[in-house]
Amino acid sequence: MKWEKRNEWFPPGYEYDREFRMIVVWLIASILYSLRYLACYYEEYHGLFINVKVDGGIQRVVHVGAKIAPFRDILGYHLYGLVIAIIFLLVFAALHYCYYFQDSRSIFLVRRLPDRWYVMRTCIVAPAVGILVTLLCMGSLWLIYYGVYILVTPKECLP
Amino acid sequence: MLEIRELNKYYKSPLGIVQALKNVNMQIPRGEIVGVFGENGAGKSTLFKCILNYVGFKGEITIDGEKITHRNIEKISFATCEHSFFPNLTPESHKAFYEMHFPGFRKKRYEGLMEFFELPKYEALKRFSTGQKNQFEVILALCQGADYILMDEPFAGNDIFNREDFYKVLLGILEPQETILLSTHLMEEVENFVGRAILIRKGEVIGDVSTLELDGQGNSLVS
Repeated sequence: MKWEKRNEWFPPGYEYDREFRMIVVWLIASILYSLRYLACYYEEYHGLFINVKVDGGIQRVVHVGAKIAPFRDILGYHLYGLVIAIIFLLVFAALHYCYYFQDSRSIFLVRRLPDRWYVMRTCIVAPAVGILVTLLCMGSLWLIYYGVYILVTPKECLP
Repeated sequence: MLEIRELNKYYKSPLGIVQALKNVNMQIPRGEIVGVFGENGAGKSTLFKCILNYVGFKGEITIDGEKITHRNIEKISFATCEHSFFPNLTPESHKAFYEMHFPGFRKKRYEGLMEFFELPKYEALKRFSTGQKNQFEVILALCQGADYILMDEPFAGNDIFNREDFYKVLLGILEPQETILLSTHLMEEVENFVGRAILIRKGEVIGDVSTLELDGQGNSLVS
């Protein structure tokens, strides 16, 4: 039996599969929840227009002087699921460290290893990668939503 | 040689600052089996934790003339009654872990001791009895490949047969350069096993004798 390299990124014996599944599910749910921004935006966008009768038909035109709500207000709490994911990941880092005190004092063993970064690596690296991925998701979604806000809203309606 | 010079350790407590170790000086040459005796709270565990750099201290501790850092820490192994293994892992996984992290891991000795104590290899350690956990903790300390093996009350909770087995095995397998520091309050049990006894009371070393000297004087460790 060989010690697998991937085990070097988590405390030995730690159930990281469960943690990984949980954070992936939470991230997907947070991204899906953030899509509600598009519904809110559509509602705001729709409010910029009025129906007018033109040549017997009805045409939607921009309401004179209508302004869309600021982006921040429309975005509201829609990315907060990802902020909570970051908090989870910070808690995971703390749990990884606490694991070394659970049911034994394996901290005595890991602090005795010639590899001086072992404790830090097994506690911090995986949550840090998770935080990075979450921040990337957050940044990408923010850019997409802001792009929609800027590009789709009629220029005269931007605040 | 493990050398401790002017070691002082202070703790903050709600009652103020407590001195856990007072001006401890000692030299432990390679190959000695040293018993560290003292009542609970005397400072035995604190002494070991200072040697291993687990806690801060004042003074100097060197091993073979060098300060103890991550570069030479593998020369020291540690068995504690609190246990330092990973409870969710099996002995086989521990073997793999030790082989990866300690280049001097003694695989043959490990296999021999596991067989001698008939410990299950593929069961998580959290399912072991206290006695089996203690045995495994000591096996790991003996097999790490360290020259200085610290044991802090390693047999707490073991029955006498288990403990006696271990003393016999230890004497049989140790190599000349291997040094053991064994802290215990079971003085009677280890008096024939240790070559030197250090007595600690209230953080101070109050006695340091060789058992050969005592034998020469017609005294025993207990008397």
